[in-house]
Amino acid sequence: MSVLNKDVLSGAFFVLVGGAGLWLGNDYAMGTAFRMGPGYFPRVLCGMLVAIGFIVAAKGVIAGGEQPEGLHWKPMILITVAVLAFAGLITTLGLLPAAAAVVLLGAVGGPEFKVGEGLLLAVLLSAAAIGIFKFGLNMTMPILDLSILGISGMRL
Amino acid sequence: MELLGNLLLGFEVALTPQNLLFCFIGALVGTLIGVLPGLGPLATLSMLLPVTFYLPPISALIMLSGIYYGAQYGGSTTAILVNLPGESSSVVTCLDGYQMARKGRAGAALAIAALGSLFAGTVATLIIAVASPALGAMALQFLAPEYFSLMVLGLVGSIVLARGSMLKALAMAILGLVIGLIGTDVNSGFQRFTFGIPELSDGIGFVPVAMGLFGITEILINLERKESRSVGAVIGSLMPTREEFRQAFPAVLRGTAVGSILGVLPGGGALLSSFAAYALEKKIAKDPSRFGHGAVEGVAGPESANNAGAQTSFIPLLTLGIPSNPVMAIMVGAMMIHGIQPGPQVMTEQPKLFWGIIASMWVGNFMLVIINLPLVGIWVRLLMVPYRMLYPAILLLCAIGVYGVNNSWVEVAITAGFGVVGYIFYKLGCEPAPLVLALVLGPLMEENLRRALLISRGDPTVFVQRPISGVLLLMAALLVIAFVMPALRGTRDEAFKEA
Repeated sequence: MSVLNKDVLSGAFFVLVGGAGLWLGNDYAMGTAFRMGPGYFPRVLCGMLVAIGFIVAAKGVIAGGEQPEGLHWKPMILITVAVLAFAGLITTLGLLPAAAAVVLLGAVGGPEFKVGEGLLLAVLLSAAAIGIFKFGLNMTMPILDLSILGISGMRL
Repeated sequence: MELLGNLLLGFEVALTPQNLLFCFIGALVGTLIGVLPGLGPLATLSMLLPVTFYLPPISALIMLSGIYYGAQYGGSTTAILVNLPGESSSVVTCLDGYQMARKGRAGAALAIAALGSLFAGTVATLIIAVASPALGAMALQFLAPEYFSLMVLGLVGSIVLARGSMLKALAMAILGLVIGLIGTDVNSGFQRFTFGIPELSDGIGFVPVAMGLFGITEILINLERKESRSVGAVIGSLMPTREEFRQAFPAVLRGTAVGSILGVLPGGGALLSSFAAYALEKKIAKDPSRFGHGAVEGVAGPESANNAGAQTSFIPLLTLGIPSNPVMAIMVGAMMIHGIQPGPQVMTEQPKLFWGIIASMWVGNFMLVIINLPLVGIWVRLLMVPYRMLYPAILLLCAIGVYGVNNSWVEVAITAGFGVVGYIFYKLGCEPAPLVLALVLGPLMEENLRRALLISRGDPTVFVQRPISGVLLLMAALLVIAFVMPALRGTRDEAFKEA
């Protein structure tokens, strides 16, 4: 059995984040307790995080613990890409392509994807989103804006 | 009587046609997301946060609170009929509720859950109305040291009451505080951990983090396996028999008490209340072996408790301005959108808002019984919608919701990142609730700590010398000691193990 159980891995994660915080905040002014500088709170917190991380990891090494279950890569990657695609498209090409992309990519990430169903969902849900958020709530975003592709006059 | 006058004022506000409508929408949406597994109040509230911008503040807050306690009603329907928790706080309801359904008593189980919730909701509303003015009056004397100590108590509470390892929960809370540091330091204008990215100078918002950790992560967990869901149960008569009623009533009373108390505790709320109530019912039952085989008390207790807990968790928010759980943290966000600084002054400066919300809870609970009992057939049909058609819609709503808060694509990207982080936390057994709470409290804590030490000229004993602050810290210390002791620790683990 691997020594890398849940506790060891989470402890290592905490140490890593705390250590990064200490390193990045190395030059932030410390100040005194009376007049704290911007570096005081970060240093105390990151120090605590590193310390607790070591304790959690040590506990895991000594006492052992459950092994973490494996990650399911396909949904994890596709869902993340779907949301990132939305982030990238919403300000460049507009709501319609962004909504269609997040729905379609997200649907592909599931264990029971069907092409026809995914396409239908993409059409219906982006139409609903445009209806509710653009026309219902007047949110400020273009539905479709192709000016970034050099096609002028295509801005809805 | 002052209380009566206040409640009357509240009902005047809550019963206007517009507020009635939004109370109804909240109850309806709450039931909907309660019924649907994989969509919780936290994600829904964050999705609707930008929408509330377009409503008057009172209507917005009435609707959002309706969603939270409404979800407690809807969650039991799925638990009883499909043996799936529609809501995490209904996990324990599956145990006996589904067994009742298999014995043909689904209707009775649904009725007991709904009526128990109504009773609990009514009592909890009264508790809020009575307790809030007293607490609020005390809170008006709070200065920086008291606020700091109060937030310490809140964080400690969320740590000791989190599931799993307390040490990891502590690390998660500190991690939340560290994430809260990102951005411009309020005192000096210094940029901390922003990497020169201008979007980070305002800090990492609470909504993208919460939406990532709860909304997206939930989807990733659900997509691990193909779903198997079948609504096999026949609902049958909604009327409980006399015997069932006799068993249920004392359990409802106990559940209401447990929920009302645990809801107020920092880190408490609906989830913890239902687990604790189930453990209690099992412990005091004459014949504990009936549990898991359709014991009426196993439905009545937890279902009353989760509704009571959902409602009394508003007390710390409304009186002290401190959110006791992540859902309440979203409510803070909703109040801030409308320029309301949560705290004791809300009650005196905006009595209509304050008492309107409280009165609306009462109204909402009655609506919920009607939405849930006679209309249960509609919700059952909704359960037939497979998850593979549901989650793309949830995903889209999450994305638009986050984008809508600040019109910032960076926040959508942050959401995606925290979705993965949350998934890894889930694999590692790290509870995200303390992190989210700490993220909200962090900046406030630092500000109050620095202010308190400035007033005291750097003397840290100011926190124990001021009586209220000292008592709050003492309570935090006692909480830690109590839960580190093996006896209570065992009870806590047992309460969570029931599922």
